[in-house]
Parts: sequence; structure tokens; C-alpha cells
Amino acid sequence: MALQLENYSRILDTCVPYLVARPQIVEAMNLSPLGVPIDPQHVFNPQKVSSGSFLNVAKTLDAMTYGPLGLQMPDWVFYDCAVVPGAIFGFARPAKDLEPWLRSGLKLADDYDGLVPVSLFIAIPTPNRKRWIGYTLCSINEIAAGGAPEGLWRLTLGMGTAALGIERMRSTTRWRTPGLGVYASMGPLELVTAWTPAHDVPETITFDLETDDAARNRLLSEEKTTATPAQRYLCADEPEEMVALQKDLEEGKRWAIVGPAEIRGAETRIPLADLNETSPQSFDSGAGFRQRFQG
Amino acid sequence: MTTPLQTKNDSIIAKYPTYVVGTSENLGGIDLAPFGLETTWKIDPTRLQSATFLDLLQRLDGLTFGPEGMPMDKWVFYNCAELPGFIYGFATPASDLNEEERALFQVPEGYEGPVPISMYIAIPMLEEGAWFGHNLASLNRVLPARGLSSLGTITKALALKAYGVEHFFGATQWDSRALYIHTKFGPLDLITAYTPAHSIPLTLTYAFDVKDDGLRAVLGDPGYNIEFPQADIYLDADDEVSIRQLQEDIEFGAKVQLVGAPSLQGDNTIHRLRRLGES
Repeated sequence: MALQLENYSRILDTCVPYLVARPQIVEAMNLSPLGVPIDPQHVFNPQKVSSGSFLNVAKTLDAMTYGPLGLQMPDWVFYDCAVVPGAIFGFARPAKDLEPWLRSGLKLADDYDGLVPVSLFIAIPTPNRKRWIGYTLCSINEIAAGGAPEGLWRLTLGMGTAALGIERMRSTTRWRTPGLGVYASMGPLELVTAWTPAHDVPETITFDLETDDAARNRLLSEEKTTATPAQRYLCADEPEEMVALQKDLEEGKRWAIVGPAEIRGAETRIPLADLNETSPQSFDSGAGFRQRFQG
Repeated sequence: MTTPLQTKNDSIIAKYPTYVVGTSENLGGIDLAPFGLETTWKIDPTRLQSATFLDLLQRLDGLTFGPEGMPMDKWVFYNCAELPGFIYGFATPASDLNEEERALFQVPEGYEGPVPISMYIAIPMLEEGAWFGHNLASLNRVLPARGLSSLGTITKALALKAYGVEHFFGATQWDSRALYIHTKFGPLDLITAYTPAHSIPLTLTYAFDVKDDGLRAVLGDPGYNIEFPQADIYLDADDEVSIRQLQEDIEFGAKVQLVGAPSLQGDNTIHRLRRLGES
């Protein structure tokens, strides 16, 4: 399926795709994801000294994104649990093209003139090697709006899953993060956990999603209609609702998030559907909510 | 009591049951009786009832590496161990702990489940059979009265068997005491000698092929043995210039192995290596 990228030309004209992976992994990757070739010079071997400065900037981007959430990745985790077992895909801009405010924000050394990562997607395999864990997805626009064109989040996710050949992925995020909408625009997010005490932030969800070509097409075309209608909503600020949903899941019920968060004033609600329910009941959908759709 | 395998410390096998942490999807791919040793507890990290045990794993991590060691955040446990791979180790029922040990572990009032005394974490790499190990913790030194010598080594060997590891990769620092355990598994191929992508550049990445006979030898079965070739290079763990040169050689195709445990010469840690030639 050919995916239409013309709406993303502003990114493709100003940013270049890159890959961080060991040579053994690179061999198994698609080096022209969605038809966009990755320049061999932009493929970084994490086990070579020459990759160090680029990787340090990538770590800065990750730290600036996740640090304020209390989830900053220690450097050893970056090595042991990301770039050695799995891979990173993202977009970068040449340092010479960066505006002075952005160079300063990213704490670039005055003499750094290499590529500057402005997005990254990290995924690692699971024991059957067909299902992956995606645990980092970030874009410079989250921390410095205007650092790259709009749409970078979703193009990074779409091209990243294509580059790594991921067709089904498990991931985690928080109920309140805008990133939930990016994932949900690929398709239903089948919940594995709704309340996760194993995580530092129990308001974390774990979900499975399809990331095949059809899902990438939905993501990149920004379709707002989903095949699965919502049957109820969860308030993203109510832990009791999350715990109740978690208990449902542990009893064998199958719930999915079927769209981006919806906002009304200070209220955030998440649309859910019961995947076991073939004839959904009608419900009061509320009034005045608007989809939060960005990325 | 007879145990299904011979080890350097059979009392551990006899007294302490084992556990594994993994998701239901992943547990289908694990050997729940490595070398015949049945796993007692299977912990699903996605369930509410697992929360206390997972907290105790974090506590184990903190106790192992001491006050100066920073315990892994729970999100690292979750995203970088429990979802992609496994945690395997020995545990004991909370009722087996004395008051001092309960306080040490900060076992919650009323908790009567298992309390972990060791763990080994590994996660799959993309290549079939290849795994990366990133955390080994044991309370051998913290609970000396329990007679847990070799607990770390036995835990790692059984975990590699349970996970079905064929090609093992790990990373550690040149001055790490953990190398005394890792080098028991046979000659280690050096993948990197100097690693700027890691938080500590003086980190080495190593690899070895995993065979049952080798694991039995590491466990301490006297019927098995691992041959270590003679070293032809001796490297000081603090000699950054030589380590960086070694990395450069590796990047240009040199094949180098660590061939045994380091030795202490005065204040210096000396590693034994041998050069196999160029690729």
C-alpha cells in the first residue's frame, strides 16, 4: 500500500531520517521506510566511538522530554535496553540549520556541526521477535514548539514502525499524555493494563496495537473516524475509574481505547469500547467535548 | 533432600524456591524447569496482586548495590525487563524472614508472599537466540548468615537456561567486581572495549555462546569443565589509553577475548586477554 506523504513534505524537506542500530540489526531493517531512503551516512552504529556525539544529543532530547515526567532514561539503559537489543529511528536536522534559540535549548556545544536529532522512536523485541515493545516516542515539538514542522510525532511513529518492520507493538503511556492520541489514530489500543503499580506512575496504561500498513495509513492521513465506536468514556483524572477498569481486565474483559482524548474545559475523557461486546448499548455521549488531535 | 542438579552451593537449591517475572505472552517461551529445577512462583507484572513483589525486587536491587548504588526506577523494571523479557531468581516466603530481615526489605505489614533474594534480568535482542543481560543482584553479602555463597553465579546460569539463551551479550565496567562472575562463563568475546554510548565510557561489551555443559560447569557440577586459553595481553582496568586503542583495533576488525577473571596487583586490576586475529 503506497502511503501518501505529500502532507509531510515540510518535514521531509527540512529533516533527514536516521537510524541507530548495530549492523546485525540494520541488515534486517527496511532502509527505505515508506519509500524514503535513509542515507547510509545517517545510520549510526552505537558500538563505534564515532557515534558518541550524535548519541549524546539524542540522549539530551530524550532527557528533556521525559525528565520532567520523572522518566529520564539513565545512559546505561539507553545502551543496554535500547540501542543494543533494538533500534532507534528518528529525524534529525543539520546543526547549521538550527535557529540559535534551538541550539541553546538543546545545549549544543558551540562547535557541534553534526546532525541534531529532533525526534526519536525506540523499540526493542520480545522473545518471539515478532512483537515489539515501543517505549520511547518523542519529538522536539513537545519541548520546543516550532523546533520542527508539525506532524513530526506521527511521521516518526509511522516511518519508525515501517523501518523496524513492526506490525504489532506493545507500548505504555499515561492516560493524560497527548501522545495517546497519536497512537490511537493508528487504530484501537487494546488495554493490557489500565492502572499499573509496577510502574513509577500507576496512571500508566499498557496497550497492544496493530502497526501494519493500514494502521500507518490511518495515522498519517489523520482519519478522525474509527471503525470501533466508543461505548463509554473514562475520566483521565480519576484513579478510581482506572483501578476499576484494571480489575475488569484482570477478570478477562477486553477494553480498547478507540480514539484520541476528548477535552471540555478542564475535563479530559478517553473513549473506550468493549471488544467482547458485539451489540453495544446506547449511552449519553455528553456535549461540548472536542477531540485533542495533534502530533 | 536430593536436588536435580549439582552446584557449588546445593543448600541454595534445597532451601530456596525460584520465581520468574514475565507477561503471560512471554512465559510461553520460557523453560520453567531449567535443569529440572521447577519454578515455584510465576509473577505477572500486569496484575495488581504482583505489586508488592515487584516493589521488593526494586528493594533487592537497592540492597545489592548499597547506599551508593542508585536502584533502578520502576519504569525501567517495567519497560526494560518485565514487558520485553524476564526476571528470574531465588526467593523465600516472607514467613521465613526474621524481624531484622523484614525491616531490611521493608516488607509491608501482612504480606506473606515470596521475597526475592536474587534476580537476573535479560531481554531479547533481534537475532534469534540472542539475549542481553542487564542486571544481576544477589544478597550473598547482605545476608551472610544465610550461607548464600555463589548465589549470583547460580542465579545467572539457571536464568540463561530458563530463557533459552544461545548467544549472550552483556556490558559492564572494566573495574566492576561483576566481571569475576561473568568471566566464569568461559572466554568472553569483546564487542566493545570503550563505549561512549554508555553512561561510563570505560564499559566493555562482551558476548559468548551458551551451552548446557558450560552452564553446568559454571553451576559447579564437577563432571563439567570450561577450558580457558592462555592470555597474551595484560590490561590495567584504569589504563584508558590502552582501552581506547583496543576499541580502535576492534573497530578495525581485531578479535579479542577476555580469558578469565581479573587479578589484583597492588591497587591495580589486571585483565587477561588474548588476540585471535582480524576478521
